[in-house]
Amino acid sequence: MRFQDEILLLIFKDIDIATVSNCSLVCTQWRTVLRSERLWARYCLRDLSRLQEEMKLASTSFYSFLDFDPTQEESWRTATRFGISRRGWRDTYRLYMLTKLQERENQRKDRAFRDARRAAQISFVQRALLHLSVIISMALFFVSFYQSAVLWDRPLPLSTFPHTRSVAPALVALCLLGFSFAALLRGPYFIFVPVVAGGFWLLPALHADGYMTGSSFRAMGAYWIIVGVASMVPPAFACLCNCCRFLLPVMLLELPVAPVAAWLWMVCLKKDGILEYPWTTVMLPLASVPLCLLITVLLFRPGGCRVFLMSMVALPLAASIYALGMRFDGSPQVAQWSHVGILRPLWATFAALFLMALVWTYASLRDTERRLHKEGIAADILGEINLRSLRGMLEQTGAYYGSPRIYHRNISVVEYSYPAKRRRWLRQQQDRMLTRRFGRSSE
Amino acid sequence: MATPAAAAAAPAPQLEGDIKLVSEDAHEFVTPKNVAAQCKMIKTMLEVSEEQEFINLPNVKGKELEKVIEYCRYHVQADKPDSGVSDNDKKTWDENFVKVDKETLFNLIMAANYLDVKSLLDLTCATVANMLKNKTPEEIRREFNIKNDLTPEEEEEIKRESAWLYQ
Repeated sequence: MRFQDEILLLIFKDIDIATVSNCSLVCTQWRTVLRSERLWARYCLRDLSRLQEEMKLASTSFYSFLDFDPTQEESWRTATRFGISRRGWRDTYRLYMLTKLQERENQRKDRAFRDARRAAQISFVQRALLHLSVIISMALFFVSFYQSAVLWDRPLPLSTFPHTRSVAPALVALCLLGFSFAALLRGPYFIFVPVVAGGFWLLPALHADGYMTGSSFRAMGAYWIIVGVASMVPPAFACLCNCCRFLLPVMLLELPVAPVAAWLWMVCLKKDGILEYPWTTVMLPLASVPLCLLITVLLFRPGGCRVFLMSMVALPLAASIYALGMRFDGSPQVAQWSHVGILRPLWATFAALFLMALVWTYASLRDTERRLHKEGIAADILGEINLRSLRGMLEQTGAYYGSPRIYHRNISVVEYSYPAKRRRWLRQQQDRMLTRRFGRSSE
Repeated sequence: MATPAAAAAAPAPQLEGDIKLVSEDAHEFVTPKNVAAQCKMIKTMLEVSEEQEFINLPNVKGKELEKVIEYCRYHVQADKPDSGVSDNDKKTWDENFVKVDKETLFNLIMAANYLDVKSLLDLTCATVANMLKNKTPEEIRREFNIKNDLTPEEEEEIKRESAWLYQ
């Protein structure tokens, strides 16, 4: 069956673009007809307004559309070489399609990056909170245990430890610790809550056993409440508002600041001066917590095994600081400890683990950067990438230089990477330029 | 499928009497002039000479001419203000009208093109365009009995330059 070219044109005018590609491969006559500018003009008039809308382009991007009347033969005579750099309707359509595909791809990448970044933020906060809880639990456990066992000259072995109310909370704290470690990889967001809450149980228990009394109890209690509440408020806010956007900056500020504030407040409560508190029980352990937090926040990044390593660093650090506090307090045990060389191995362990953690962190960061680069979702430069690739594409068609419409295209693609204010400014610039050239505006 | 209702809604010429239409294979159809005038070509001929009693249509066979006259008659009746035929009814009728074999459909396109019945031409072309949907080039060739005169190199070239259409 052989149709006349005019009839083929009439048939093809209604087909979709996907069918065009198949029809081009049918025979030479069909191919020739499907390359006809008249046909592509129809496709342009039919589809480009929709494409422009999908791409969120201003309606002024192609003025010729406004002047072109398909029912007038005059329009066809004067505008058959329509489009970018007068390369024709087909190339114009092709450029639109490619731009649309690229924009869709960019949006997908942008969305993927945002999701990944949000997941990373949540993961970071989870691990930071867990680590905070672990450090505080451990510090409290060691402080209270050694305080009761060493300073009051009680029997050290647990088997002869007579006070069940203190041992039970300590065991609970250990269980919570293990639970926290088990939940490190994919723990629920507020797993830290029972860990922090455990402290509220341990403190009164120790107090009831008579180990933590007077100013020590008040100071530790106040400190625990402040740290606990400060740790819970931002995540609770994030959970309630379903918004994690501001969580990370708040937490980064709050984590080191809250313990320091609690420590200062505690010192102010004691009117007789800072040195009235025993170093072992209160001063140094509390001072060690912000230090641990600073190390956590500033030097380390989120990561499953690294959190464990950080805890390993925090353990000897807390123990070392505690031993130092015992020395200040004049504990009779310190001389013996120094004699068997406990302090030096502790510091050496701390230093070795700290170095190991640094190396591990550096290696992980490099690995993450490499992965991000490979996946092409380095969104900070996403706009720049788009601009470069689009420009390359346009230069390939020979349409880049001196075309105001192309300038507009660049803006439209890059503007996805900019905030609303910046986008408005870009549009104003574009309108100003178009008005200068054509004497009309998109408004 | 495009509805020809809008195009068919053009006011019928105020012509009275009948005219005899003679097809290529000598079939004769007597039809009211206002029905025949739906074809622009016949309308032009009638305007030139209203007195003529028959018109020879050498490029249209009897079978297709009968279908064209059926189409024109229906739309003349349906487009009358007091006909009570809705647009949906017209669309349904059009859809049923083009449910014919391929050869008749293609000949109808030729006839509509020759007689210049725009609404019928649009309707039949849209039907053929629908037949092209979701078909591979090979299936299209088979359906329309077209010989592939493209060389493998040309096919490769077309695929290369139309790569963006496939995305």
